[in-house]
Amino acid sequence: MTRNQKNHKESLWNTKASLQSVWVCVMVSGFLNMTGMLFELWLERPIPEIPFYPAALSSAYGALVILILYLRRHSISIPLAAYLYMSNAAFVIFAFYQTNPYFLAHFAERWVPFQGNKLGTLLTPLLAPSLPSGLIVVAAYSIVSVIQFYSFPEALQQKIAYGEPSLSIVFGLAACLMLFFRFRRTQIEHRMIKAEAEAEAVKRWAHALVHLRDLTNTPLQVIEFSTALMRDHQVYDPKIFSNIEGAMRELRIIDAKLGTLYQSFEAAEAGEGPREA
Amino acid sequence: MRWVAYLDDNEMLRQLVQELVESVLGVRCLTAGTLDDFKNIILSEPPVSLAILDINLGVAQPTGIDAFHWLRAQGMQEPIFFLTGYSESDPLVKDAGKLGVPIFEKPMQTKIFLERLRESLKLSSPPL
Repeated sequence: MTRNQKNHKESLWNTKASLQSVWVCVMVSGFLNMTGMLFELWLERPIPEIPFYPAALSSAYGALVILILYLRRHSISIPLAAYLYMSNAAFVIFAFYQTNPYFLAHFAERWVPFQGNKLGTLLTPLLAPSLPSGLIVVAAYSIVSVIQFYSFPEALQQKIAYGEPSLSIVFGLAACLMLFFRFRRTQIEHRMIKAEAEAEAVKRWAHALVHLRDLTNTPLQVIEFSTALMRDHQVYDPKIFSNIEGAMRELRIIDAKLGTLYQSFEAAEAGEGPREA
Repeated sequence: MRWVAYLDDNEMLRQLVQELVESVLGVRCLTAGTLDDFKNIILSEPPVSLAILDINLGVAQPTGIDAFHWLRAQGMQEPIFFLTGYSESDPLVKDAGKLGVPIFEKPMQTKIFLERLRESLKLSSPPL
């Protein structure tokens, strides 16, 4: 492996899913936000004092994400997808942060805390467009749950489900592990595809080199026969000299082709990818 | 009267082989650059004593293998051999290899080339 190839090696941190898959994943996350928050609004019906706007705003943002993705369906980029994914998650986290205290106040021990946050945490390894954006979202879901748990009155903290906030942290760690596995698998797939492409390029170059070598054989044969005629058989026809010149011309053309092929090698080495010779 | 037919799309090589065969071996040599010209020469002359065929005669052109089959179809039983610049990995050379006749790869040493011709034409070797 050359130094250039090492430089272009994809790190786990930079590993990204394919654009098509990223588009679908962020679209699903927008759809889940939009529909999930409508369900949240339905769940909020028994609590008259709960504000309407957090879930409605989050649901509307999910719809906006879907619209943006539809409009950018042919020009999506990983940074845009990551931005949409993280902002979508931020709206979801904000909505839960705003509504959780009302659920707690209304249902107390009947309320299982941070279910929405945990669901978001577990969906992130499946839907995140990149490892950094996935880690940020998982961290946000878990940390906000922990902060919110400690913001509740101590008496209420004792009433809600046993195991919090440790459970939220465990969910976050499990999600991080799943994220690493997913992007490690993607990284291995990318390396395999790259290795196959490189092997194919080397095969093409080898064929091109053999072809060029074959092309040199006829002019070399011309030179061989010409020199034999003059040296061994004392034939000094002017045509023989012009034949040697013709053979040299052909060899120069082949030499130029060889130069082009070498440039193609160098370009591929510099990371521009394999090209046809 | 013995004579050699040589089929090759390279004009320089045709001239040189003709010169070598005629001046060194003293045998008449007629050359052609295409299969059609080759057929015309063969049909207009007495039976050929030896045919030397290039395999690849250019893009979208009949090949030396076509010439071989045509010669055999004409009832020619005299020696034939291929002289090609292409390596054994070339598909055409692979096909030619199945025909059971010698294939010589360019660039071939002149001495060996002339020796093969002498053997095929049953000429005596020159004095050392």
